[in-house]
Amino acid sequence: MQYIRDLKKYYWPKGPQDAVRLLMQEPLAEIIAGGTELLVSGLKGREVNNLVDITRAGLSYVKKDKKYIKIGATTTISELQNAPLFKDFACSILSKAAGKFVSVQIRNAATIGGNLGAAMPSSDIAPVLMALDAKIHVCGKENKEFPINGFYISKRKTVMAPYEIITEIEIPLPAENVKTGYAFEKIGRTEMDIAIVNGAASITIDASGEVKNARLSLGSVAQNTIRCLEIENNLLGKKLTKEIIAASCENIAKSIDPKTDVRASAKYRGTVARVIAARLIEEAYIKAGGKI
Amino acid sequence: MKLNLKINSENKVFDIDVRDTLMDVLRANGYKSVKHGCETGECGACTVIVNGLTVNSCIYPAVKCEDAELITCEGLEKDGKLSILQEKFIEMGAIQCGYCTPGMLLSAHALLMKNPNPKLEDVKDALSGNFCRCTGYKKPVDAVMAAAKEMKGAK
Repeated sequence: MQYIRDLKKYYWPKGPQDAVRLLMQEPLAEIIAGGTELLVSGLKGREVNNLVDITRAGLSYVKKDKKYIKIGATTTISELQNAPLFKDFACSILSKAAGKFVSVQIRNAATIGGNLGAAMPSSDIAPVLMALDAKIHVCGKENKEFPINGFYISKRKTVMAPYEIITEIEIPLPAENVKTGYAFEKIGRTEMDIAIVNGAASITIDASGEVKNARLSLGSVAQNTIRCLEIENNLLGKKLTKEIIAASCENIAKSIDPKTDVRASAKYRGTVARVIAARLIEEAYIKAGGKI
Repeated sequence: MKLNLKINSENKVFDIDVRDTLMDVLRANGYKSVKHGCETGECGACTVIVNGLTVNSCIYPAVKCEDAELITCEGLEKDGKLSILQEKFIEMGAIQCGYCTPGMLLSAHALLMKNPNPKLEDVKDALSGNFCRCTGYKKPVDAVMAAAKEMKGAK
């Protein structure tokens, strides 16, 4: 089997600018990293003559400074799963999500940038990065950065312009002396199947247990991963109880737009989304130190 | 174009087309343990180890393997003697038709290289990308656990 019938040349740019230059200059050129999305369903019959592989462009790293954790775009899902940094960061939700990401073979090749750029609504990584309020750095004619909330327009569509590539994901470190808890959840047909519904939450509370900040994200229940801003607002300023959480999630149908596919019906997704949302909020609240 | 790589500790140079998958190249050069399954990275029959990590060779461009070190199932036996892992698969009936077996063995081998004391959950996760449609999964999982135990005893 030839993975791309009309492919003529394969390039190994040394850095992101070099990659962008090749994409602009070579006809019918496409970016590739792990290839697990592009070669399986990402081409959609498009003709491709040139592939630009960025896995040797210096974008595989995880590092931490005083304010941010920075993840290079070609860091693999396995590297995220196993990075010691993420074992103790944010209740390890990034490790956990990476560990639920299909199979070992796919995790070893697939990259964080590729997963975000592929812009599939079932991404296990995107909801976590939304709960962590990450920014996505992009290189093109100029360098840009986008908050991940708002990065997705619809299925397979992001705000990135042609010839732009993701270079880095930046996660702000929470301020010290702040009590924040995090949670991640994924419901799938099997452990390794893509999500029917997934989501993540981060809840910050004050000394009295009142919610000061809340982020709740859900995947696979709309055109793309979403933040549930209305539910977040319902939680602010409150000490949470099971009843308050249930009431806050009652009108979740307004925030989501689930579709029926081979894995689940829209109705099932809607019901599960409400349960998952409540569970995420409760878990994150308790992890922050709140009592329910 | 030429592709230089090391397979099962042997240096090789293959003549490849830029469009070839790693699976194409390996099978064309006699590594028939690498099975052609789903072509979409789901079934794991084409699993090989590249620089210590398992990949689905059916969706892996061969050009990515320049200077890489590969292990295929042919490389698990030493001097005509099967590895402990292979012996355990036979002994415990973890093989039926055999089509998924090379991929399963390599997923298990990659796990045991990194983690000689796997928990049951680790083994299940390691084999989660290898589909079997006849034996099921209990016997392969048990075989890997038994191999880990025996390998530890052998040291």
